[in-house]
Amino acid sequence: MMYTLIKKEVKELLSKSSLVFFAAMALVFVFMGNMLSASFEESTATPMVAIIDQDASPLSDIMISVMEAGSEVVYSGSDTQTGRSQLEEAGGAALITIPHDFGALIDSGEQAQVEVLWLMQGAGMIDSIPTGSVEALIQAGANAVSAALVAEHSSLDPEIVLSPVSYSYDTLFKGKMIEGASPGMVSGVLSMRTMFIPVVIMMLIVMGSSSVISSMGLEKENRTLETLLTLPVSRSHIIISKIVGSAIAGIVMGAIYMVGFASYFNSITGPAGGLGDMGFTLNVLDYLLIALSLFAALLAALCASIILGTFASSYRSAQTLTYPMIGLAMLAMLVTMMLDFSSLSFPLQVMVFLIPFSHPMIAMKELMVGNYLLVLAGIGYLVVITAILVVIATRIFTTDRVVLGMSIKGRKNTRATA
Amino acid sequence: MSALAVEGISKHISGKQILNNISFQVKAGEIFGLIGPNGAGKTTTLRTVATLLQVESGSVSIFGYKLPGEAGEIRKIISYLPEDAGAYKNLKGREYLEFIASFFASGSRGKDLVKRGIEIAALGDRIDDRVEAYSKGMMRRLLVGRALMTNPRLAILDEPSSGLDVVNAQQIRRIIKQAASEGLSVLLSSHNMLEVELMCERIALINQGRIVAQGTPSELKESYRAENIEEVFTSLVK
Repeated sequence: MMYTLIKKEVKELLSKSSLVFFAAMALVFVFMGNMLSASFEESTATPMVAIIDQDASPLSDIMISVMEAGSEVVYSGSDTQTGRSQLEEAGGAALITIPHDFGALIDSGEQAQVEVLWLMQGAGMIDSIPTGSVEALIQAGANAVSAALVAEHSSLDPEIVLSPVSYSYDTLFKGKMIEGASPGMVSGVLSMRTMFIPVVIMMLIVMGSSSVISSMGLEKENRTLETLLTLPVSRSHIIISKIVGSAIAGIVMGAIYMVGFASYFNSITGPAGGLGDMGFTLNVLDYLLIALSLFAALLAALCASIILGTFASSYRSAQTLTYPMIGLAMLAMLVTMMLDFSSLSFPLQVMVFLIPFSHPMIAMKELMVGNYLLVLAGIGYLVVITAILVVIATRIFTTDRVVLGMSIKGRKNTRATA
Repeated sequence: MSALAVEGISKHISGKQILNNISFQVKAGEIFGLIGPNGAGKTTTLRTVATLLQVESGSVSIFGYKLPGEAGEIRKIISYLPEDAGAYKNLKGREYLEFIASFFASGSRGKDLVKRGIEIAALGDRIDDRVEAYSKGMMRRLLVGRALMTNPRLAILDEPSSGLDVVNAQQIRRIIKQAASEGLSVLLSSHNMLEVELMCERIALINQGRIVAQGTPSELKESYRAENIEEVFTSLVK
């Protein structure tokens, strides 16, 4: 009987149209990711430039030879107009001009100037031109000029003059010594690997909650709830089947969505790694705890959604009722993505702890630094919250509210159903 | 033993009294009609008997099983057809009947129930179409098939022919009368006085949450010196 109810729920929620919608959304993310990835590759690729040498001095020769070695040169000569038109034709990034007094100024002890004309194609995110690599190219040329000057005027090694001091560093983080890493590198690697988790969990919570609330709205809109409630099946079975069915639907929808989102995310952040090198590893028990935390949070969300769903009078009104769940899930996601739990103020820690969805979001990071107490306390809290919500949901399903969708005044405390 | 005994039930919704000391009995194999103007309390009475709403005061007993304690047993022997009820749109007509039948029987017995439901619904090949493609008449026939296929001992039918054309309404009335002749007890509500007069052995007239008259159609007509039930109704509710 439970299987029949769960099958009905899944079939109702995973309709062809909803699957097509989520697949389309995933494809949009994949498409956006590929575009951004292409743009990123372009911005870090060898820049295409034209070089105008109006000086033709030994120092400008040094500068140009280094820049030519690190770029794709479409024109190298003294005619600005020709260089510019060839660069525009080739879709290049910058026209670099070495003015006629370049060598003379440096020889007289003054700073010379190189002029750059950027050819900007558009103002969109994927239209960005490789400014960084062109600037690096010019800097490399300038360094070569510096080295030549040092070699000419001093007996010192130009490398030492240009970079006389080096340093090494380690970072102590929550009692763990991480060698050869700065705090920026540690937080960067940790964030890169763990910031994906809150997004995934937020999506699962939102999809699951939306599914269960929509299911209630659909039952009322299609006028099927009254029939369902008069069938010889207990209210608790109806609630459990709605929760399980919605969990399955939410996981399927979330998985489809996340395939696309993962592609998008990887394209903007690049593949993450380095956690193992820094000593941040997870064992089997850790993964089990993360899974348990996620499962308990999903159940709590679905139970809360069932309660919210009893207020829905139609599919459309059900969509409005998902807002509190989306708001809470997004709040938890943003806080856990941006901030570390241990560095929060006490009131904020309490607030984050009380939001059920935040626990699986912070579990991975906390387990990496060995904070088992917080993760276990979170799971315990989720179990208690879920149990309370199941009791409330079951009680609501045995009252008139589920049928009438409004408060009942002046009634005695009797129940018609079991 | 009566099929249904309703004794002095009262009900408040949002602080307003909807039912006020309602009492009536439905005999086994009888079609009992509940008629009254809009908002009189018909649907609330039917929902209470169908275990959907709480029994605030008074008692409801169906074939000896009492509410609220024996709601689970009662649901095994009743069938409720709400007014404007629908079915799951993503299912085919046959799948919907199979879904409902699975709560009452499995295996070959379950298949027999579905077969009976298909016969009652009489939708022909359209039984394998998705419910969302059904007209209102087809939907109602499917739902009557659903309500009667499980061989309930008491059918609670709220406006069974609501919104149907003459032909479809007549077919549904015939199906219900046929089932009653085979032993089914029926509690139905309707706005259609002709339908009630044609189908029901006994009638209760409900107005402003109270039963204001009850008896056989001929008794009521005689008492109120009316030619038909419509005249009885108008003389009681004006």
